Amino acid sequence: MDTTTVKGTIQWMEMGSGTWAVVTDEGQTYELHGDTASLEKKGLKVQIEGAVRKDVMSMSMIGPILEVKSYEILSES
Amino acid sequence: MKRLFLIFFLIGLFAVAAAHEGFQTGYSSNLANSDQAEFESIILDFREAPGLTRQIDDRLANLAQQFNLSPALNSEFSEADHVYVVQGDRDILQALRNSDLARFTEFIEPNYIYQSLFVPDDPDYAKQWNLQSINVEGAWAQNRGSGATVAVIDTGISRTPDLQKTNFVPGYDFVNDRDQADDDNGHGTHVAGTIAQSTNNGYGVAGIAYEANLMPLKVLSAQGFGNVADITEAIRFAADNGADVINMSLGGGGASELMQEAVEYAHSKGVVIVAAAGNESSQSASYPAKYRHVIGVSAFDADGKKAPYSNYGLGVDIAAPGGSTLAGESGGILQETIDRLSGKAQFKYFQGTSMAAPHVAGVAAVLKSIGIEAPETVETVLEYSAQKVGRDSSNAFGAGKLDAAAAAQMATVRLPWWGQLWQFLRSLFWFDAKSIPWKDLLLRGAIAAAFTWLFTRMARFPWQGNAYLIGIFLGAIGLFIFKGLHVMYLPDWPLRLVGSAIPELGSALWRDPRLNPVFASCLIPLAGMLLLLSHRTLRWFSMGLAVGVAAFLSVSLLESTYVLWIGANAIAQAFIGVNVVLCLAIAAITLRVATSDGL
Repeated sequence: MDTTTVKGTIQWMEMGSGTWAVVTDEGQTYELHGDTASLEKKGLKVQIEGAVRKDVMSMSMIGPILEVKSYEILSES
Repeated sequence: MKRLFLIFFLIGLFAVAAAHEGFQTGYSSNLANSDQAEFESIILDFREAPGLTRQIDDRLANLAQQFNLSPALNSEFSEADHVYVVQGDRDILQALRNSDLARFTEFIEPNYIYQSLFVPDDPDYAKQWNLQSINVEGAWAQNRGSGATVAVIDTGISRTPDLQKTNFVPGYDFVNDRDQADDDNGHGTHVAGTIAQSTNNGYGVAGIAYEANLMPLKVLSAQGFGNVADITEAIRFAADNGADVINMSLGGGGASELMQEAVEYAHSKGVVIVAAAGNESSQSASYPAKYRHVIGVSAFDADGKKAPYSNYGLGVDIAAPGGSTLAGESGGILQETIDRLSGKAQFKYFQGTSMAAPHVAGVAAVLKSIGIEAPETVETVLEYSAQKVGRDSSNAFGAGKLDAAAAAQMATVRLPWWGQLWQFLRSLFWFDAKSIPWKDLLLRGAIAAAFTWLFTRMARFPWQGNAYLIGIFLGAIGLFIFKGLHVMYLPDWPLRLVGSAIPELGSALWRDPRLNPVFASCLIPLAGMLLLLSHRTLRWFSMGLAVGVAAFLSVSLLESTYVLWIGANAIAQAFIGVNVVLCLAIAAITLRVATSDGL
């Protein structure tokens, strides 16, 4: 599966029962999937390497679903 | 030019008719449209635009003076949207619509009073603005979903206190592979509450089809994710185990043939399938809402406006309350669910098209319970009874806003024989005017007419002959009516192929919206010229074709269309531009040769 690198800010999205997302500087929202516990902090600036999963659906439907493979925390803002 | 104008006039006429709701011929017993419906007040929805607020204040002051009316905000949510209510009857309504006030408003309409026989005793029912906005009490007076089964394909359902009196039938947990399908997220229980929360039980809140059976099918994990394979199995499980309605408040990813087949299977077994349009605020519903035979539901807020997050456009069939918690949580949808962390029952306000879809699923269960069997008929009734929304060019609302009372009333009225015949025919053929790009067609027609006029300045030629006009038509427009036509049991692609203009044939053949540079170029007009130039009649067809393709490509140029293998960039623009010139050159050569040949 192709990997992609996404740079942006972690946000909690109040959609349905709520979900974690990364919003890029260009305004694209990705829903975070996989082992994301250490990323779950509002305002965190991160760079994530992951795969957009087209075979996965979600209840929040806020954007492409990004399965996190690795990440780097850029700042805690 | 009479004939040419006649053709474009007819296209224009179709476009206007299609934009008008009356084009969707059928019956309508929408309460809000009936002459008998009563109202004592009138709703004014002022336009929102920068700089207009001051003008609105002036108009409101005038209103007070001129008509002796005192406008008031409809609710605490109304100020930002400029929705005001004034006391008034039919005469005042007419006077207001005729006054210059109308220019500053999106609509002026009666604030109908819905009389009901039954108000439940659930203490927080008053907080469910959403149920009132779909006129649920009028539906309850007729039916509450008894005997119908709604499969909730979601994170599972936990039997919270306010679901104790609701009927359940066995479901399945496809995530953990077990019979018990409890919720560990809170989403599925909330969705189930909207459909069938225990109602009139002196506790909590109400649900729409509260006498229906719930079938919990867990496909989404505690984090709210699920895979296509599990969701597909759940759809088949529901169809094989007696579900009448499926609700899918989920979406994402790409199209899946596996899932489309499961949807077709459930549909063939009479199941009504409802799905959320998605929350990306983008101009197309997500899958599964976008599949054929799935009712895609967009969301509106407490003021009846499109919810800011809701997807719109392609795949949206109807709108229902999804709420917006932007200005406070009470703008959301209130149901009992569980807390994700503690697992304890809680009343929570959620927002999303996830919340809108179960409103439609609940009303579909009511219609099934009344005795409507065919899923097409359920969809037809839901859509025809919906409250129409004027000027919805982005298709944010589909057929309109869900109206439970009007739908139940329409379902209980026995149709006359011609109504039944129409319904049967409609289930075989249907026409979706929104799939036709009316604006582009008109523009291409106008450009083709302009090119034709320029060529008549070069030389007199029989442009009003059939050969030339058919050429133009196939090159620029195609048999466009077929683009909106669907025939039951037949795939759509042959109709799309027939409905395409020559430059679109590649897109239609490979079902790819990008322009195929082989077809969207001067190649076919060139072949036409080489083959037909010596024929005294058919060469006018090839000239018409070249002019038509040039007109088609000119519009693509204006819209920066994506060209296959090239992209949507300057090179693509140059490619299209060069081909416009080449097509016009081909037409000019044909004309020159024909002129020297004595026409």
